Amino acid sequence: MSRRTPKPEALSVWQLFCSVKLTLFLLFLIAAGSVAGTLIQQNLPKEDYFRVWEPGTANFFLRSGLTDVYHSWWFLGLMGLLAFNLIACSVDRFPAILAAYRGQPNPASEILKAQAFHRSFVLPGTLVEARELARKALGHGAVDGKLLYLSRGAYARWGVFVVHSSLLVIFLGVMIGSLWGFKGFINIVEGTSTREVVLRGGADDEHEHRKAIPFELHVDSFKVSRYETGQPSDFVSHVRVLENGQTVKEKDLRVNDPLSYRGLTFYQSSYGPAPEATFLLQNAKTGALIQVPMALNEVRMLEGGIALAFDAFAEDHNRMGPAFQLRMQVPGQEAQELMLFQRLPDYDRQRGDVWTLKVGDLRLKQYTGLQVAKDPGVPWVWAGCALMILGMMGAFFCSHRQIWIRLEERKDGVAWTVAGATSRNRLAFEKEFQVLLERIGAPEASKSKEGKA
Amino acid sequence: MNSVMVFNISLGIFVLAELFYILYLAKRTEGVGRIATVVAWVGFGVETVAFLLRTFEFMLAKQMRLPLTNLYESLLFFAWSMALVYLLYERKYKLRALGAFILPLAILALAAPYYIPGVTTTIPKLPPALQSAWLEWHVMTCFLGYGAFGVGAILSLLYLVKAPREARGGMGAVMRMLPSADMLDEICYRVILVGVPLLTAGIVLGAVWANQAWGTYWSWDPKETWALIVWIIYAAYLHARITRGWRGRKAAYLALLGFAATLFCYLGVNLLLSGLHSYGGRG
Repeated sequence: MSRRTPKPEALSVWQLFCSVKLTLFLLFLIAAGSVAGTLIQQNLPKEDYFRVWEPGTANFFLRSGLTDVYHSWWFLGLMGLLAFNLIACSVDRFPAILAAYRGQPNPASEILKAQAFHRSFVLPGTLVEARELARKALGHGAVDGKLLYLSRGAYARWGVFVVHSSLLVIFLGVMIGSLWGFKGFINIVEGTSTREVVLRGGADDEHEHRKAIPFELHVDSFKVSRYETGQPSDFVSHVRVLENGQTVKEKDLRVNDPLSYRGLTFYQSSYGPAPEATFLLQNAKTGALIQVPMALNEVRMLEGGIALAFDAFAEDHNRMGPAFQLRMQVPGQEAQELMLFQRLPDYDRQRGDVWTLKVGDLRLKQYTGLQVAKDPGVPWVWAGCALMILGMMGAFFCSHRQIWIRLEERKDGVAWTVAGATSRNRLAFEKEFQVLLERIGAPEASKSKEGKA
Repeated sequence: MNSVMVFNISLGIFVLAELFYILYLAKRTEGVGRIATVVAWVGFGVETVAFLLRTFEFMLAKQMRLPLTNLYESLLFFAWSMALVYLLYERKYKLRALGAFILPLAILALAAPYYIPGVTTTIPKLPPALQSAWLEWHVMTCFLGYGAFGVGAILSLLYLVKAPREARGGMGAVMRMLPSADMLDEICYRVILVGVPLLTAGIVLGAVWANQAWGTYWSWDPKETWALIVWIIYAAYLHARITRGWRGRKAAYLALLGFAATLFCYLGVNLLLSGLHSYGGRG
């Protein structure tokens, strides 16, 4: 295309987006932003930034999004501009790529002579013989028209286009995932079920956002296996999926071996103690005894208006065995915190209160922590990744090679014009071209008219 | 005899090969050069045997994995990759004079346990997170890519030293034995063309693995982010070179920047920043 004289405004904006200069500029900014994101700790509570940095700097970080670079408006904006840049470049280059892919089966003879590789010579014989020889020399795939034409590896022309499109496919997958997917987690105690997950990364982290799932997930057991050294070798949750009370799927869920069901995937992620104890509440005056079975973090209202909360647990507190932290409120009194030890049943009597507590039996269960993800964009991301690597193979290691042979009958035999062109790797093509000339039996280069190769 | 001893033998052989490569530059006789190449291939072979032996040791410890699981093993594989990439290119382009400059990187990596404190050589006990079939593919592709970028960086350095002398005309004997500046530039480009798809595959395989282990293919962990930064630098290198005609000096600086980022991604992130890839750290 030649010079366009009066440039409308829209066209020049389009041309800006078609430029590789812009690509390089955007890549530089994205890389710089990424570096910043690894040097400044991301997503800490506000106070932490003020603890480490001067107030002015901390304020700047918080306001500019440098504390959450990868979700900041400017980083996403740069990604958006890069996507638009990619689209513009791809659209702009598409006609040229298509033309190059189709090749030139019938070029004018000046075009043949202008090729980087070409040679003209005369060989004895008839046109029919020469045509047969040329066909054999070119081998499989040669097109026999006005001239003989061989085009190999034309697909390589699409390599760069495919790599660029693949990035857009990946972006599309990321967008699908963030629009229609979610991430969350659940802690399930052994022997119990859940029908909802806690969502991650809500707008405000103060409140937990819960989401119902369309089936019941039951955890039968959780186990940690260990090496002789004590380091963990395996985390396994035995889980069952239940629909209408019926088990429809059962699995040993491990790290690196998640459970997928109805578009949701569950990943082994953490674990912890989930004790259940029976507390014995006794009235020193009346001798009345109440048994209160409770799980960790449970709060219960008892007869007589007494409230009891099971706040914390340690398997072995200061070598005194299992320890429990509770809160109790008796009507008309202030709430009080108290510690209980299973091995010291009289410990709570020291308070001298009317109502005293001790620990009955203890069931040491564990909870398993599972990540939950639904991401309908994932197949798109993988498709994009596969396309990108395929595209790179085409763009970096394959070349589109074309060879033309034109034959003209003359009194002294047949005049041959052999020309060749390659999209890349001229060195390898030069050898290929020489082999072809030898197969035809072309005279040595010095004796014939030689195009510069 | 355990694998660590065999790795150390290969280190010794690589040092010997390095001496022959230096002697080759000094004497400029084909015979010495050929010996250097043979010794380097022997070192590569012995290191391969060491890897097989260590794989066997893993099997004895009932771990059906290739030994690519911690900092020590990754350094060994980095050396192996560098040696492989270099030796293949030496064969293809007759670059024997480069050996003396490229082997030191492999030697440094193999000898790392002796100067990086806390690099342990014992057979590791794999935590559950690393027990994945993706581990080997992820590590192999990444480190073959790193190896290619390492060779590219040395070529760029040599280009920067040679190009101005070639232009001025006052080259020493060693400089004259190296390929022409243009050739150094071209080979560097080709090595990077091999490294980029390998790094891409490494990042993709890492994403596939992360998705299987944690349910997210990308979490902007410092290692991931730095791998992306490396990828961006080489993407810029290719675009600048192909569409904006950056050759020679500017391209060489970009290739060096790319390898500096690669080293930071490989070692700096583990030693200086914290994140999901702590397995690659010390200990």
